[in-house]
Amino acid sequence: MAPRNDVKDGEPQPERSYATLSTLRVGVKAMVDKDGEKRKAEILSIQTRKGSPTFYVHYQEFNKRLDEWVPADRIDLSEEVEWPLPEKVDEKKKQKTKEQLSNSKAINKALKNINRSVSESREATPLDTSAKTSRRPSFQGGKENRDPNVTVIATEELGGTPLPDDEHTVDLADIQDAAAAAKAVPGHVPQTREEEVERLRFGGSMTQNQTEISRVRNLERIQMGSHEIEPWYFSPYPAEFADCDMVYICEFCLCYFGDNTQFTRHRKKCTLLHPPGNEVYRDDTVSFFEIDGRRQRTWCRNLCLLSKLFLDHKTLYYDVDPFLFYCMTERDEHGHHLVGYFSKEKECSEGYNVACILTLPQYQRKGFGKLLIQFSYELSKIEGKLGSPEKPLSDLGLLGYRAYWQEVIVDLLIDREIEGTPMISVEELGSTLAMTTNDVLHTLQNLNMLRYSNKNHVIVLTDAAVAARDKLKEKERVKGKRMIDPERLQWKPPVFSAAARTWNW
Amino acid sequence: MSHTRAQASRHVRQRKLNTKQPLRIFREREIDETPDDESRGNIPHVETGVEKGEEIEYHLQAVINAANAAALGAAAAGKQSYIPTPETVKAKGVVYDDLYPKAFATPATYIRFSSTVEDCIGVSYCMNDEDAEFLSKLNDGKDVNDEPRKDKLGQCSEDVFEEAMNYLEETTARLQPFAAVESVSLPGLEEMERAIDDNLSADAQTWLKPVYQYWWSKKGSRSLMPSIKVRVLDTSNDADDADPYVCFRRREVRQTRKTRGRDAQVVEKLKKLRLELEQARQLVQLVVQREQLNKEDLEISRRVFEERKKLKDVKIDKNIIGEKGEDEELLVNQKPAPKAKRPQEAGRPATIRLRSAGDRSAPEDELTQLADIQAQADAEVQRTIAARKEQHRRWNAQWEDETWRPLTPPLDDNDDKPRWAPLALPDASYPTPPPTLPSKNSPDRDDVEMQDAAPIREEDASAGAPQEPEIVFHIPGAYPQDEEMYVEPKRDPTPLCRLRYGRGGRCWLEARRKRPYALISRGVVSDSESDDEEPPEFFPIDRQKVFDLRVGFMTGRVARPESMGGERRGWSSGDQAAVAGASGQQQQAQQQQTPAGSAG
Repeated sequence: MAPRNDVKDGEPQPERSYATLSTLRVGVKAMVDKDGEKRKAEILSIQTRKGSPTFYVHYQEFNKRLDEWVPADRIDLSEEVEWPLPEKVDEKKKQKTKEQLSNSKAINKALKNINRSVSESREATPLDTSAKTSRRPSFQGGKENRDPNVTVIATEELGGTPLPDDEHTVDLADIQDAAAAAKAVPGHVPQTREEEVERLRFGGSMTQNQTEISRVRNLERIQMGSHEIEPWYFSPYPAEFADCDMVYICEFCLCYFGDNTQFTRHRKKCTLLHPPGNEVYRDDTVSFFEIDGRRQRTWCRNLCLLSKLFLDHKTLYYDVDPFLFYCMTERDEHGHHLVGYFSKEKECSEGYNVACILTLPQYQRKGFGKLLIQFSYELSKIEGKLGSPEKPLSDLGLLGYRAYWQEVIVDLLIDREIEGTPMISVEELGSTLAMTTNDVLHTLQNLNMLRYSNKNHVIVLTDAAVAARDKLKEKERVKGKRMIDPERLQWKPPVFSAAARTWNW
Repeated sequence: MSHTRAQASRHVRQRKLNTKQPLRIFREREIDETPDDESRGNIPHVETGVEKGEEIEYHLQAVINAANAAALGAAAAGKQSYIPTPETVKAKGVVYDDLYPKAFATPATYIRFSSTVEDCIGVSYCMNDEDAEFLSKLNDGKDVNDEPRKDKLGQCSEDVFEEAMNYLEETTARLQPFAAVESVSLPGLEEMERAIDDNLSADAQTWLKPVYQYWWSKKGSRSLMPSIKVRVLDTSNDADDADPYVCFRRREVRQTRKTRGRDAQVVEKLKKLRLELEQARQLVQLVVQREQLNKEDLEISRRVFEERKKLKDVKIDKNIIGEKGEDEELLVNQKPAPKAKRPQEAGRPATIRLRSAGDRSAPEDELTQLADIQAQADAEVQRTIAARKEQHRRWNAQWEDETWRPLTPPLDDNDDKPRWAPLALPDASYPTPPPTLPSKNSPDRDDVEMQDAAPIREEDASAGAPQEPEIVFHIPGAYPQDEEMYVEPKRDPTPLCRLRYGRGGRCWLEARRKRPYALISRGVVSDSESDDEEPPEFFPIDRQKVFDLRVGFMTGRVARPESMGGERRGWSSGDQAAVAGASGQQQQAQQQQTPAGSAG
C-alpha cells in the first residue's frame, strides 16, 4: 500500500521532514506529549473518532503497555518526523500480505457496518484508496507546514478533510509491516514466522516473536468482579469486542461478554465458585488449584485470553493441552477469587518450571507475585528438579524473580552464617532452593556478592543485601508475613503415560 | 590476610569459578578487597532473560539502576522507582453481592472438582437487551411482526427462550459449519424441528416456532454470541496463520514409529474401548429404563391411592359403611386378601373352615395352572424317551454290538491300577508326566472332542450302526477315564518318556526333550504356536515298567518288558482292525509327534 510506493529504496537512514496532520500515517515516528514531556513515538494506527483523528502511538523505550490513543493535539508537528523505512519484504510475501489485507479489511468493514454507527459523512468523498496511494506525505507537505500556526490550522481543518473511508479501521497488514520495520533494528537476529511456528509446533513454548503480535490493543476496558481494568496488550478475544466500551468477564468461569445484560444473565446461570480443578494448597489467605489444560480446555482458554491482556510475550497460537495451570485464589463467602496463576509444561524439555506467570492487575503490588514464584519452586522441590522460568521474562517478571531470588539466597546465606558453617557452593545454593545454577549466579552477580579475594572466589554478604533483608523483615513484622507453607501443600507430581505424550496430552 | 599478599595476588591469573566448590561466606567488612573489573571477568556473565529490545526500556532501566546503586552501597535510597502500569479501579455501578451472591462455604477438606465450564454455566446463550425486548413483546401476546399471536402458549420464561435460541444457534452451526465462509440460506423451521433430540426440553420445543421467527430476523452469517476463532483442524491456510484472532490451534501429534505390532495393539485397544463404552452405554440405558419404570410405578401407586381416597370420600358421602377397618385399608397399598383370611381362621372351627376353603377355592380349580401344564409336558417327553429306548432295544435284539468295546477290552481292576500309575516317583526325582492331557473339564477338551466326534458319528450313522448308547472310543492310554487316576498336569520341563501301543500290539517308547515353558503354557502369545495345534498327548506308565526302562537306559540297552506284549495277547485281530479303521484320525495325530525311541 502507500508506504511501499513513496520512499526510495536503498536508504539506510529514515527520512526526516515536517509533516501535516493529514500526511501522518502508520509507521511515522513523531514527538508526542506524554505526561508533560515530549517523547518520540511511533504511530501504529489511526482512527477517526467523533470526526477527529486519533492516533495509537508506541513511545520509544517505553513498554508497550503504555501505548495509547492520543488526540491530534498531543502530536508535536513543529518538529520533524521520521518516515518509515521502505519495506524489505520480497515480492511473494508482499502478494500474500496484500491478500490478507484485503481479507481482513473486508471482514473489518463488514463488522463495522454491522456494529458501529459512525457518522460516515466523508464516505463518498473523492479521496478513495487510489488517492491514498498517490498521497505523498513527504517533505513537500512538511515544508509547506513549517510554520506551526499553519499546522494548527491544518489540524482544525482535518475534521472536514476527506479521509479514506477505511482510515479508522485497524489495518492488520500495516501493523505487521510496521512491526517488521520496527524489528529491523541492527543487531537483532531476525526470526522468520516459519521458523517461529516450527519451533512452536511440537514444543510447548508460550512465547512468540514480537512481529507476530498484533500491536494495537483491542479491548478498551474490562470489568472483572468488582474491578475495572485497563488492558495492557492485544488479546484474541472475539473481534466484535473491539467495539465494546467494556468487556465483562465472569470472575469464576472467566467467560467473556460484550454486553452487560448478557453478562448479568450469565451470572444468574453460572454455578462455578472456584477454579475447576483440585485444590492442592490452602492456608489462611490463599488457595492453589491445579488445572489440567486438556481436561478443562474452556476454562484454561479463557484464562489464557485473560492473561494475554497483561502478558506481552504470551502466545495463544497453539492450544492449552500440554500445560498445567496453578491458580492462586483468595477466599471469601462469594467464592474463590482468582488472584494470579502460573502455567507449567507437563513435560518441559528445557527444564522450565514456569511458562507464564501473572498476578492480575487488581492484585498487583501486594506481594502475591512472590507467593506464586515461591509456590512454583515448592513444586520443583517436590519433583526433585531445578527450575527456572521460561524466557523471555517481562520487565515486571524479571524484577519479581530478582526480588524473590535475592530474598531466598540471602536468607540461606545468613542461616549458614548463624549455623557457623559459612561455606556453600553455588550448586548447593541452587539445589537447596530448587534454582538453576545459572539463576543463582545471576543473582549473586547482580547483587555484587560474588568476589575474588585471596586467590579464591568468595561470597560476600554485602551490607546493602543485609540491609534490604532487615528492611523486609521489619515490614513483615508489621504487616504480617505471607509465604507458602510447604506442609500444607498436598501435591504429587502428575504422571502422564506415553500414550498421553503421543496423543497431545 | 595481609595487605601485601592481597596486592601480590593481583598479578596472578584468577581461576575460573567452580560452581561445585564450596565458597566461603564473608561479611563486607571482613574483606578489604575492593571489587575490580578483573575479578568480574572470570565469572560467566549471566543474561537477564528479558528480550534485548525491552531490556533498554526506560522504566526497567530506572529500576535496575536504582537497585544496582543500592547494591553498590550507594545510600541514595530516595524515592522507590517502579514500573508504571495502566490503571485499575473499582468498578462503578456494580452491585457485587447481586452479581456474585454469597453462596460459598469452604469445605473442610481440599476441594476436588472435575466438572467443566460447560457443565457449570447452563445454556451458553445469554440474552441481550434486544432479546429481552422481544421476549416481553412475545409475552404480551405479539409475535415478531407485532401481530397478535394465535397460539395459546402462555408465558415464555427467559430460560426457555435462551434454550430455544441456543438450540437454533447450535443446530445451525452443526448443519452449516461453513456458514461464515460461504453464504448459505439459514435452515428452515422444518429442518430445525427435524433435528430436535431429547436434549431440548419440551417447553423450548413448543416455543421454538415463535423464537425461530425472531432468530431468523436477527441472524446474520455470524454466531450471535461472539466466540473466539479456534481452528480444530490443522489448516495450512495462510490467512488463518496471519490472523491474530485465530488462536488455540491444535498441536501436531508427534510421529511415533509405526510397526505392525503397534498397529495390532492399537486395534485391540480400540476394539476393547469400543466394547467397554458400548457396555457402559447399555448399563446406563438400562438404569434409565429401570428408573423410568420406578417412576411410573410410583405415579400409578399414587393414582391408585388417590382413587381409593376418592372412593372413601364417596363412601362417607353416601354413608356406605363397610366392614370395620376396611376403609383404612383402602388407603394403604397392600393386598387385602391375607388379612381378610385371618379373622376367619381364628374365628371358625376347623371343619367349617375346610368346607369354606373348599368353596372358595372352587373357581381356582377350574383354572389351568402352569405347573400342571409343565408336568404334562414333562410326562410326554418321558414317555417318548421310553418308547424310543424300547424301539432301539427291539432293533438291536438280533445284533451283537462289536463296537461296544472298540479298542480295548475293559481292564481288570487290579490290572488297571498299576497301568495308570503316574510316571513320577514319590521322591519326585523322576520326571512327572507333562501337562499334555487337557483336563477333563477344561473347555479345550470339549472343543477337541466335538471336532473329532462329529464326523465319526456321521459315518456310523450312515453305516447303520446303532445310535444309542453314544459311542465312546477308548484309545488305550489316551484318556485315563478313571478320575482318581488322573493326575493334575504339572508343568515340568524335564525330559519325558511314554509308552504307546500301536497296531498289532506293538509297543512304542517315546522320549521327549525339554520344551520351553512358553510353548506348553497356553495363553502366552507366541508366533511359533498356532491356536489350532493339538496338545501332545502322553501316557503314564506303570512304575515297575518305568523302573525296567530306567535300568535299560542305564545299562545301555533298551529293555523289552515281556509283560507288555502279554497284555495284548487276548485281543482278536478283528479288534485290531476295527481300531485301525475307527480311530485312524487319532492315530495319525499321534504319529505326528516325534518318536525318539521305540520298543516292541
